[in-house]
Amino acid sequence: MKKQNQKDRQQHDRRLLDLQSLFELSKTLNSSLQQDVILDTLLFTPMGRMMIGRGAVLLNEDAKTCRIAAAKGLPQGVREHALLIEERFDAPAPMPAESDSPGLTFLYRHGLRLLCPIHSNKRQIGYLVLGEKITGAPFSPDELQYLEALANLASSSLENSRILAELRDVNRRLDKKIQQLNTLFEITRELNSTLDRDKIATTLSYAVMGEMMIRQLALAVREDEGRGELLTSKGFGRNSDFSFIDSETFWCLLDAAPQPTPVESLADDALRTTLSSMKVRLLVPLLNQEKVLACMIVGDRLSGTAFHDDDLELLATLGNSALVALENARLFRETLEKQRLEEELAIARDIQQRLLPAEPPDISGFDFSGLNIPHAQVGGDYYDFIRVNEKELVLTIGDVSGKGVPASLLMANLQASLHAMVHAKWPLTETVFRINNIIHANTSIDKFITFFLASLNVETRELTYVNAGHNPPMLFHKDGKMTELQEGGLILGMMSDVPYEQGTIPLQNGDLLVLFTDGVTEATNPAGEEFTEQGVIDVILRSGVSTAREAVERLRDAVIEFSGDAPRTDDITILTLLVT
Amino acid sequence: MNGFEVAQHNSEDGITILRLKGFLDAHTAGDLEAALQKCIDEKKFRIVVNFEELNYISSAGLGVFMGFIEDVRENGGDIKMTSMTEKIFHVFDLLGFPALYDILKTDDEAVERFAQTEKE
Repeated sequence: MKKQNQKDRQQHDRRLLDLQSLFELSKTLNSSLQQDVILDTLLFTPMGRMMIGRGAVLLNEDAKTCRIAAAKGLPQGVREHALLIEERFDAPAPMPAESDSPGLTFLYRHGLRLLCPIHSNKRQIGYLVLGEKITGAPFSPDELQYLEALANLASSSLENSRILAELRDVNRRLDKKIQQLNTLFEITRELNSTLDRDKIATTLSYAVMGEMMIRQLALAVREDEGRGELLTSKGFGRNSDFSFIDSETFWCLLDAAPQPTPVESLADDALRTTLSSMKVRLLVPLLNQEKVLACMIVGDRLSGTAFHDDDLELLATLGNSALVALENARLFRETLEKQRLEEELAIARDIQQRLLPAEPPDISGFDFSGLNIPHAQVGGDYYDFIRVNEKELVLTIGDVSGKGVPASLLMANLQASLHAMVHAKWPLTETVFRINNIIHANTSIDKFITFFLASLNVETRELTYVNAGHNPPMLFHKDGKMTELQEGGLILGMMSDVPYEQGTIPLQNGDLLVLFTDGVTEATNPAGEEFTEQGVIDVILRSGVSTAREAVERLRDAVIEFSGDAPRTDDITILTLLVT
Repeated sequence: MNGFEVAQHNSEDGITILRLKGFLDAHTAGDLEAALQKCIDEKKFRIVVNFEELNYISSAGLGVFMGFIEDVRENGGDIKMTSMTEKIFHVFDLLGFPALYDILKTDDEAVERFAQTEKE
């Protein structure tokens, strides 16, 4: 009886100790959110209490697969091992020696003999597995009960720690995204505030390198005809050879596959070898309107980790915002350049207008008028009145082939030559001979000038002229008849040392001399028809003008009216002389 | 504007200490680049960067360190970082720098770390 009492007492004490240890355990478990601490507690407590040599905690990855999250008394390598367990256990059970589940066989082989399922909200979240007691004694029903309670106590802590770990992970990923957004925001702001290409390239490089821990980065932009320019290279050795960007092959390769491309998957052997030797890992083509305009040359990551899809996406996003900035900078530079050119042209126009006479000469018995409407800012038409002396006035009209700045330069050359020569008292033929040689020497074969030069003797009212291939000026007489002034020779600039002949014609009261360039006769209407010489004749004969100015204006208005909406393509110059 | 300054200080044991102050972002990254480039040009490869007075750092700022680390380590040196505030460390941590850079509490620890590697 006494013995029985003692035994009961002992058993009672043992239960008390069990409860005490469960209480301690629950305190420890509840105070910790760190999974390692919870797992250690869960393992060491029964191992100590029941003198068990080995144990492990498995956590469910999904319904049937478990991962060994903690192991004691087992080889190091078993941690993180994944196990497949087909069976379901509702209460502690001995480990079957033979099983269809490879997971259970694995555990048995490692000397684990008891399996305690861990449930949370009726869902199984893992197992506590234990080896034999060192004493070899079997687990008593009390002990099994104790282990079941232990597993249940641990379950909510494990669940909490798992949720916390997940939460931390989500938070960290969120923080990372925020960091990326910050980078994107910052780089966009920074890029928008500069038009300096080097600064844009550097900003991009450092943002990308910092964001992804990339050791080397370079940025190449595509130039015309498959050439490339290296805007920046960071972290590459000083002797790195980037000449591969200067080839059509390189850019065509990117055209063919305009997305981030790992170097090892490049089809071009030579390029792959070159890039690999430079430790380049990735080419990121940058596109604007579906055209590859630049390429980021991306080196290793310091961590050695691979580039994932979201990394590639971020790279392309950052790169493309830099490309937009580069494009803006280019457009801005072009606009500036255009503005500068336009300003220069305006100045050139001003200069050219000064080369033409400001006012017609005022000589009694004669009435003069002149007009020049350049098609572009500057043109190749020329007319002039030059008072040589009391007796003599030189008048001239000319048309340089071509248009715009080149024509205007040659026109200035002609004007200067003529002004230098008219005072030399040479015959007109000699003057034209010399000017032809000058123009010929100064121009290529495809540049020439049609030129008409006349000298008016204001006393004898005789007009001497040389026509070097210009549209024949028309001399209208009072009786309605018209004479074309054709004497002369070849257009200026075709050949050197060409002889010229001169014509002389007396002027009568009421005679009207009309000189013009082909901008008048070759003006077209919307139907594509030309104004023609006959058009000039018709206007003059029909209008019956009484001043030189009136003749110019009538002709001008007629040409403008004739052209209508058709685009004007040439300079218009008209010069008239009315004998009164 | 948010300014940025780098102060260079050469310790007796041939270690260069750069003290960063203010805002380090894409805008000011060039200043840090110049300071590090100067160290390389002067063949000072043992560099300690002190972040105590740095208020802000962006990825572009971190990028500058990436641009030089290879060169420095190839020449037997290192860039060690010290005295980061929690906020600054958080950015470095997020982008994975602690695994690859020595990030220490004080300049003295960094100098000591250099001395240890020297012995080995």
